[in-house]
Amino acid sequence: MALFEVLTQVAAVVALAVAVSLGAVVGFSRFPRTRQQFFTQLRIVAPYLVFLGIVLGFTSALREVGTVVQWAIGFHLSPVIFEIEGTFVAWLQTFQTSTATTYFSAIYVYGYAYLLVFPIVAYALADRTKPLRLLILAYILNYVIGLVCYILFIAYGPRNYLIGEGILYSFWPQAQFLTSEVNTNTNVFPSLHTSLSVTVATLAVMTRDLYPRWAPIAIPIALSVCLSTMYLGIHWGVDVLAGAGLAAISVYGAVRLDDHFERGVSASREWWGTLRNRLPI
Amino acid sequence: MDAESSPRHGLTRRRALAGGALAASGLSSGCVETIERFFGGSSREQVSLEIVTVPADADARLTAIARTLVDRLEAVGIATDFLLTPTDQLRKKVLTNRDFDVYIGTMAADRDPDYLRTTFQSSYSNGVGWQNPFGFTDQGSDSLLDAQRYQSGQQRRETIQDALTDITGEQPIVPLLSDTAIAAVRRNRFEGWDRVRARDPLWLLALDPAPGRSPEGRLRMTAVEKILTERLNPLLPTFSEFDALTAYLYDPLGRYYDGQIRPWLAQSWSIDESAREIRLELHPDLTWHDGEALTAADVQFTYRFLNDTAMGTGETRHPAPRFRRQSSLVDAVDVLDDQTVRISVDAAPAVARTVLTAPLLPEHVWESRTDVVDESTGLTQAVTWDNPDPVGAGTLAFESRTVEESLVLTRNSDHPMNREGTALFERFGPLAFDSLRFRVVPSDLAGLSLLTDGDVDATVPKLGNDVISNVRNESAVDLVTSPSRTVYHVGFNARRRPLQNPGFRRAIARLFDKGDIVESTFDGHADPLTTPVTDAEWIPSSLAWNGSDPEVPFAGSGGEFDVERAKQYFEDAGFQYTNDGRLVY
Repeated sequence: MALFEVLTQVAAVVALAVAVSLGAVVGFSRFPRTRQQFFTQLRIVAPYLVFLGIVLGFTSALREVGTVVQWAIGFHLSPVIFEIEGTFVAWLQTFQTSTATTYFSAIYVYGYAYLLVFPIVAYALADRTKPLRLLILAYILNYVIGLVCYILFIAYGPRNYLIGEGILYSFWPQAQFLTSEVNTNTNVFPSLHTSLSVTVATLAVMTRDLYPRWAPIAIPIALSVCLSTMYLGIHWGVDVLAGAGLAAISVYGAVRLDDHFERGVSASREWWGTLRNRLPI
Repeated sequence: MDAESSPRHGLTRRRALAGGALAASGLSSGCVETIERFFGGSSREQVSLEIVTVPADADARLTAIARTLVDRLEAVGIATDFLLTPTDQLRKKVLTNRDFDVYIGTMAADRDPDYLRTTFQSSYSNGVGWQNPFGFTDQGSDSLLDAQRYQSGQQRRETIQDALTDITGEQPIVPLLSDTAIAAVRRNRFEGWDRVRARDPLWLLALDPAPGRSPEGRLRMTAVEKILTERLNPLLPTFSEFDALTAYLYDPLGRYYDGQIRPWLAQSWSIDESAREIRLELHPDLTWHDGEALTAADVQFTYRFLNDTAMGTGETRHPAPRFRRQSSLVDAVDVLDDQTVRISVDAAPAVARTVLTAPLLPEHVWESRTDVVDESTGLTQAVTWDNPDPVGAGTLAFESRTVEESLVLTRNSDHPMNREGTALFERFGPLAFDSLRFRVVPSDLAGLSLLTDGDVDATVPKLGNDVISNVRNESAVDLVTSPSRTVYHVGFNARRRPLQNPGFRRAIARLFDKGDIVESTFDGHADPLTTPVTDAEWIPSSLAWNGSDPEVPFAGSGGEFDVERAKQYFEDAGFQYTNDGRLVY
């Protein structure tokens, strides 16, 4: 009920934003494309999509087990973060205004969801598959490394230390029905909101030749998401820095992995070709 | 904001050790000291404490108290680690593993002060649960607490007052306050929310259907603690006083209402003072929720089992920690016939009656739960298992649950309260609803949104300030308030240096401005405490709250913390300050 309402609301807003920006960023001239072209590309990207699906299913299934393992072996990181940055987030919140609260709450929930969903659709409509492959690989790396960190580190966010306040949940209590479904309050290091947003923005810059209008949209939204996690009292500054670091690792890793896979594919084709030539058929 | 809660910089030595590369910026000075200490160098050790409490999501007031404490400890030169853990982890850490320095938490003070005996007597410090988790030792209060159980009237009152004087002098805990139990409710379907204190297990039993409605339908409540849906074992040593749930499923022989402990599953009893015996009759035709008959044999089993949950199979006895106080008073239970038992109690009648408040357990379910799980802590399966399909004899029976989401209980029609003609029916019955559903919500505010939408009827009686001010704006929703026996306190582990030093504990106690905590952190919804007992009749006049704590007054005045004065108290306790202001020993 409450969860369903919030979820429907988010889905509707994101769908609308994606539809509008498809027109603006991708341009309607790109579709319709030939069916054959579509299936060729789908075949290349399919393994990536399946892999992402497995990782997402795995991480959500592992959440409960992860919490148990976390308490068994995890290191209490938040006291260290508290020592390092103290009341930085509370200072940030001294600039609080009602406009900023509305803006950052919307960015944290809608803006973030839009930022993650739009490039999947946009890259899927491109005439080459590399951008989508990189995006999916980078998402996978973010989730996998993030999950490992969540198991290794027990970390509460600043709002749980009463550094500043949990602005999102007092401004919009129902949002917690959604956020509590996808995360637990001991998993704040690193900030996945930050890492995924920065990942999207970085790839937007890397693919600016393909969609020149996307980077100018993605960068400000990504920066707003990073800022919102701290403004709303959900993440420490340290989480955001670590999130940016995770984004860098993920994008770099995605590029390397994709190269590796590409070489792997051509190598295996070569190997198969040689083999066929030698077979007495 | 206080002056001392300004952004902190630098790292304590413990952090430098633990933080590794992350804390690289602060390593230099800490590292040298650590090496010196390791090789037995001359530098003296800075006093360092781990302060643990629950995150703001669980109880923001506890977190707030801890924040202030951490800031003030740092201000007086004590290094701190500020650790947050969920409620169940905190309880495990403190009550089972005894692995803590200082915690800020809550506990339930029993109505009868005999609870001080198992909570503070030194002989209980090797147990688990609320049996002296503090490792507190004090011969004076030990013998007074032994004596009081054989006394009555004014004599007992004076003994308890003397014991409280001894205990508060030593500050094994710093009692801070008892909060006001506050729930948000809708009155359109049920009424009578103010008849019984909200954290009393009888709270929901005393409800009536709203005028014009029949005693049917579902009472729908929210709860923030997921543990409600996971563990329904009445013997859990780490039980929460906010969780009256097992009290609906498992009923005792007697309950406290209308001024004293009165028959509940017992129909009547008589106490032979000289023989120290209680002879009691059960209600006829009592049954367990699974349909089996509840007889005198189950009563006998319950007290034997509470006294040794291994039923003689372990190397030593393994009493159930949560009801150790009651079982420690019972010498023998004899079955006279199916409905009649005789309980021999090693205490005067005032205390003896309290043994009847332990929940009855069905022999046919619990007799197979005797395995010893952990010989070192003495935990048996009986006190650790989740009890997924609870069978009790309470007013409500378990129906279904979805872990982490919801729990449904249904009316037990066989219960005397729901049977016409019984005294309980006359007084309470019948139950105003035929089922009770708890729904887990991520926060009180999220729960309030369900309440204003009319999706639920009430929240659990543990709301924080943010919700209270929001409720005031909702016309369909009312606040129900009542005093509580929940003791917000600071617990010390006196097994550890320097917390074994009462002077050190007293100096820490003086860092708390209890009056200010009541006013600002609790918005006035609390009563300050000077002792671990909440009822005034047991508190000596010398310890009565007089606008400040007479035993350990705040080191400051007018809400302002006086760092220099606070430091003086630590010096008086035998500690010294280095030139750069660190407290060492």
